[in-house]
Amino acid sequence: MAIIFIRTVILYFAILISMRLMGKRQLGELEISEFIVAALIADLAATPLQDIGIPLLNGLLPILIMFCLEVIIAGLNMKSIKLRKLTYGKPEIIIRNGRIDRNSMNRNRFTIDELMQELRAQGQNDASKIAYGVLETNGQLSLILTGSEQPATASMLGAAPAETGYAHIIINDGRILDKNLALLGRDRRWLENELKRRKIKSADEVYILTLSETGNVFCQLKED
Amino acid sequence: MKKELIAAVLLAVIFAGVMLNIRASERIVSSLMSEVDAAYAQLKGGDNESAVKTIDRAIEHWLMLDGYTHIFIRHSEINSTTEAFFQFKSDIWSGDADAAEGSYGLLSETLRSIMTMEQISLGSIF
Repeated sequence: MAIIFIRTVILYFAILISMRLMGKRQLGELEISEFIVAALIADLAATPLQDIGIPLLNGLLPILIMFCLEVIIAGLNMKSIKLRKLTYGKPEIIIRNGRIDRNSMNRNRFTIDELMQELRAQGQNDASKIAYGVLETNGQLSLILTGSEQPATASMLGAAPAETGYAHIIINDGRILDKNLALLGRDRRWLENELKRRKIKSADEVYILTLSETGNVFCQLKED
Repeated sequence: MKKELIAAVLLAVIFAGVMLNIRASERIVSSLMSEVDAAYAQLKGGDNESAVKTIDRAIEHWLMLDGYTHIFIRHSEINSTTEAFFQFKSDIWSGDADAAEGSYGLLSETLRSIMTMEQISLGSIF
């Protein structure tokens, strides 16, 4: 068991370091340590399941050790900026004022093709229109467009549109969510009236009904 | 920070547990080894009947450790150790000293491997 303990600790840090060195683009949406835990735990759990000759403890113990390490590393990262940079890395600017930073691209093993793919995925195909392209620590590319390319906002146009508010689900596939009704200061009587107004006999007929904080109701029947 | 502290304590408890497991495996193996050695010494001294009785006790002792072995040791290793025990007993029974010497060596090594597998060394880690 001591060997499992030491092996798990070694594997955890070996994968942490290798993933860190590999660059962010390997990660997708997970942070490095989360990726390690996700990738290893599934495999560790499968081993004693596939071979009943292996004690279950051989699978459970590494998972528990991995979980403890992850909690400790995540906690320490909250406290220390230096450690956070060391384990997660830091966001890296790969496009600055419309120019692609080759050094930064190389450091993160990011090819032009991959960059263009990321740009297209975000509705862009011209790097010159991007003020900053930041490769985040979770591997995602965030784009900040140049001033002239940014979409016009209501405030830019001097308009003051009404707030839409957050929409809460009141009926979910025929089930009434009383908690959400109460949250918005409504009750079943209000809901009954609302359904009656729409000529709906009961909540069972409703697929989804939402109510926003500003009072907007959206309703779709199961038959629709 | 409470969660991190609990995780650190849990990690320390697991580490202490695995250290205790090393001690437990050493104790079990050395106790079994002394019984096996005694049986081998009796065989060498020509007292086959006592050797069979001693190895029977050792086998019983090994089988009674079932609760521990099945949780901490791979089942393939448990089976090979049990086979090595019975092979040694069979060779003692047959009175073939040369064969018994070979099966004694096999059993000793199999038992020792249970202990060394748990001990911390570069070889066992990597």
